[in-house]
Amino acid sequence: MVAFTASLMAEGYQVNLQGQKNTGMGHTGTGFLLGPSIIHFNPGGLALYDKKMSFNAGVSTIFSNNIFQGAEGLYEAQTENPIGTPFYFYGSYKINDDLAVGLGVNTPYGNSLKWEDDWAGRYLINSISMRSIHIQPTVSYKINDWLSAGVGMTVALNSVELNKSIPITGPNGDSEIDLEGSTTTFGVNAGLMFTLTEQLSAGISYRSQMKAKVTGGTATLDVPEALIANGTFPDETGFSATLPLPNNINFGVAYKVTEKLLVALDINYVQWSVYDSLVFDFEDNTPAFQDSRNPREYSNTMIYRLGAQYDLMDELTLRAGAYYDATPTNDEYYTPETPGANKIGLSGGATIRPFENFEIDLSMLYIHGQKREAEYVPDNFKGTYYTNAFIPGIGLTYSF
Amino acid sequence: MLKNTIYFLVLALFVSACTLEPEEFEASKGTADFTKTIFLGNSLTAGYSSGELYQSAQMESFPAIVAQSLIDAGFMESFKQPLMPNETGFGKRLKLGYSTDCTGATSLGPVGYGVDPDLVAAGTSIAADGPFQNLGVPGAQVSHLLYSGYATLNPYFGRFASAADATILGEAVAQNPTFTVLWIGNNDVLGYATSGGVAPITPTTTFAGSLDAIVSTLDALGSKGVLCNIPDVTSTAFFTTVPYNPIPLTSQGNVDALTAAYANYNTAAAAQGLDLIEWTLGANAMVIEDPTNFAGMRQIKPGELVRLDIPQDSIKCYGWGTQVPVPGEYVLTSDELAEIETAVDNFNASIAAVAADYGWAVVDMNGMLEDIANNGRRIEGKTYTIDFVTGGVFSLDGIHLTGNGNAIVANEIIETINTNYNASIPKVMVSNYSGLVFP
Repeated sequence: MVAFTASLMAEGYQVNLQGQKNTGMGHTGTGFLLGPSIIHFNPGGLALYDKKMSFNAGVSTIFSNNIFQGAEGLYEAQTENPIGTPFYFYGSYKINDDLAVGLGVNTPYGNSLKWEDDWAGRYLINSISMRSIHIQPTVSYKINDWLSAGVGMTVALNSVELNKSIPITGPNGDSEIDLEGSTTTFGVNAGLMFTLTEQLSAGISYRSQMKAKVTGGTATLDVPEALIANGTFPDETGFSATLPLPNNINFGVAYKVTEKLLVALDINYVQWSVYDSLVFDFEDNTPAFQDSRNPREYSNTMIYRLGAQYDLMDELTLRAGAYYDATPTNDEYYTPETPGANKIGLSGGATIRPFENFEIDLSMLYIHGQKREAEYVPDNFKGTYYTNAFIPGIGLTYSF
Repeated sequence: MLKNTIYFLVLALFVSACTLEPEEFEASKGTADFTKTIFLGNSLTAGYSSGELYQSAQMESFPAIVAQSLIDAGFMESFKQPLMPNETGFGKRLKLGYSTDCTGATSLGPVGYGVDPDLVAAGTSIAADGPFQNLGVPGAQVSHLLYSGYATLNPYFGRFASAADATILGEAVAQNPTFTVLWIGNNDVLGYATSGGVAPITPTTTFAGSLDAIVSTLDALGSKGVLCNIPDVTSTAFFTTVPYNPIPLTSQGNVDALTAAYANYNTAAAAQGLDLIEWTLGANAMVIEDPTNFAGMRQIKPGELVRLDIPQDSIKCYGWGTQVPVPGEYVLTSDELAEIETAVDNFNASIAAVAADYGWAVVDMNGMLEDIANNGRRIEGKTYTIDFVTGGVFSLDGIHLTGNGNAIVANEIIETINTNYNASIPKVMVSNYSGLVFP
C-alpha cells in the first residue's frame, strides 16, 4: 500500500496532483481530454474518450519546505515534512459510442506537516495529518455532436490526526493533546464538455462541497499527573469537529493550434469561505479544558492555469504549464497548521509510448510560495512564512 | 553528454527547490553602542526565581535574554553572569508539590525544593571569573549600588565582588560600559510592602539622589542606557492571590457564635461610629490587627491586600482572622497602600526625571505589568496573567519572574531601546523560555 499523505500542494488543504499529464500542463484539464483523469477533472468528457477500456494510475512525491520566521526577530523554525505521496487511479469502460462509465480513486484533499520539536508555535500546532481518499463511480453520456455530460458520485474516506502542545509544563516538558478521528462523506462531481469546433473545446465541472464531520474522535491528553488527579484535565475524552471540503467550480478551454500543439486554460473557483472556523467540541469539559473555536475565515479563491502540449513524435509528447493559485487564508487568522501563500507553479512533463496501448507519464512541478507576513490574532502568533515544493510524479496508462 | 546535462539540471532544480532562503532580519544598533552592555539591578535583574537564585533561572534572566539578542545581532561579543554553582543556591528555592495542611487536606502548591543546598559552594567567591555584565544583586536597594562594604553584608554580592570594599556601581565602572540597563528601586518600596508596612520606604530625596549619582557616573563614562521603572505591588501575584475574605462559614452555629463573641466590640464600635465586625454564611473578611483602632483590631476591607505567605494553617486551624487578629505584617491596609502608591509614583517620577536629564530612555515596566494584571496577555498561544502558579508570569514566590516572564520583560526592554535609540534589536519568542513545572 502506498502511503497517501499529501502536503499542502494547493492552497488550503487541497491537493492538485490528479493526473501526471494534467500536472505537466499546469494541472489544466477541464476543457479537453487527457485520458481517464477526466473522471476527476470533468466527468462530462469521459464519453468522448475513444478507448474501449483504460487504466491509469500515478503517484507524486512531494518534497516540501516551510519556514517560519518570528516577527521582529531572528527566530526560525522549519517543518520536517514527511515526504507526501498522493496517488490516483482511474479506470474507464466504453459501453457504446455515446455511453461510458468509469471509476476514480484519488486524494484531492490532504495536509500533512510536522513542525520541528518544541518550536515556538507548538501551542497552535505540532503536527497534522489529514487524509481524504475519494472513490468516484462515474457515468458519462454524449448527448449530441457538441455536448456530452457526466456525473460521479463521490464517497470520501476522511481521517485526521492532530497534535499540539498545551502550555503547562510537566516533568517531561510541555503537555500535549492528540486528536484523532475519521468520517465518511458523500458528494457529487458533475460536468459538461463542449466540442465547439475541430480545434476548440470547452468544459465546466462542479465538485460539491462535503462537510467532513468527525463525531467519534478521540482526544488523548498528556498532562502532568497532578492535574489529572485533581480533575483539572481529563486524560482522554471524545470530540467532534468538522472540516469542510469546499465546492469547486471549474471552467476550461483548449485550442489546437496545430495538429501537434494544444494550449489549454483552466480557471478554478474554490469556495473556501465555507471554512469559517475549526471547532472542537469535547465530551468532557473542565474549567481549564473548554471547547475551542478557532476562526479561520477563509475566502473564496481563483486559480488560473495555463498549459501546452506538443506531440514531438509518435512515441513522445512534451508538456509545460504554469499556474497562479491564490491563497484562501486570512491575514489575521493565519495559522501554521496550513501555512498558505499565493503560489506560482511551474510544471513540465512528458509521455513516452514505448509500445502500443501503453504510456508512461512523467511530470515535474515546482511550486514557489510568495513570502507571507501574517498573524494568528487570537493567539498573538506573528511572523513570516516561506514555502516551496518540488514534486516529481510518474503515471502509467494502459488502454485499448 | 546530453544525458549528463539533463541529469545535472534535474539535480540543480531539485537542490534549489529543497532550500528556502528567507530574508534575514535586519538588525541595527541605531544610535547606541552595545559593545559593553551592563545590567544593574536587584533580584529581578539577577535572575532570581521561585524564592532563590540558581543556575537554570539565571540562564533565563532578562539580561541573559537581551544580551543573547545583542550577541546574535552582532552588537556585543560576550556576556557573562555570576552563575550560581548549582540549582539550589542558598537553599530557599521552591517547587510545585503536594503539602498536607492542618485539616489533613492535601493540595498542590509551593513546597521546599527538597534538595539540601551546598551553602559553601553557593558562598564561594567567583570574582576571579569576572568581570560580569549582569550585576544584579538580590535584595539591593538603590543606595546599595553605591555602598562600599555591601559585599560583606549581602552574600549574593559577596560571592562575585572583586574586593570586600567594592561597590556594585564600581564593578560596572571598571568595565567602561557603553550601554546600561538599570532596574532598581523595587526593594526601596517592596521591602515595606512585603513586610506588611514594617520596613521603611526609602525617602524620595534619597532615592532620587542615589539614582542620579549612579546614572551621572555611567553617563560621564560615555554610557547610554535605559532605566526600568517600578511596578505597583498590586500588579504582583504576591499581593493578589490571598483574598481579603478567605474565611468560609458554612454553619449558622459558627456565624452566631462569632457574632456573639464580637457583640461587645460592636457595641463600642457603633458608639464611636466605626465599622462593625460582622459574620455571615459564605466568605468572610478576616479580623486584622490595627493599632489605630480602640481595640487594636478591625475587619479587613475589600481592596486591602494580604501577603501570599500568610500561614494558611493559622487561618484554617488556629483561629487567625476569626478569634485571633491577623498580625499587621501580613496585611497591606488602605493607608499603607496609599503610602506605597505615593512612593511608587515618586520613584517613577524620579526615574523619568533622571532619564530625561541624561537623555536615557525609560522602560515602562509599571505600565506593562498593570496591563497584564488588568487584561492578561496572549503570547504565542498562551495567556499570561498575574495569577499565582497558573498565570505564567510570576514564579512560586509571587514576586520574581518565570523564564517566560523574563522574556516578556526582555522584549519590553528591546522595544524601548529600539524606539528610543532608533535601533532594531531582534526580539525573542516568549515560548522558547520556561515556566513552572507541575509534578
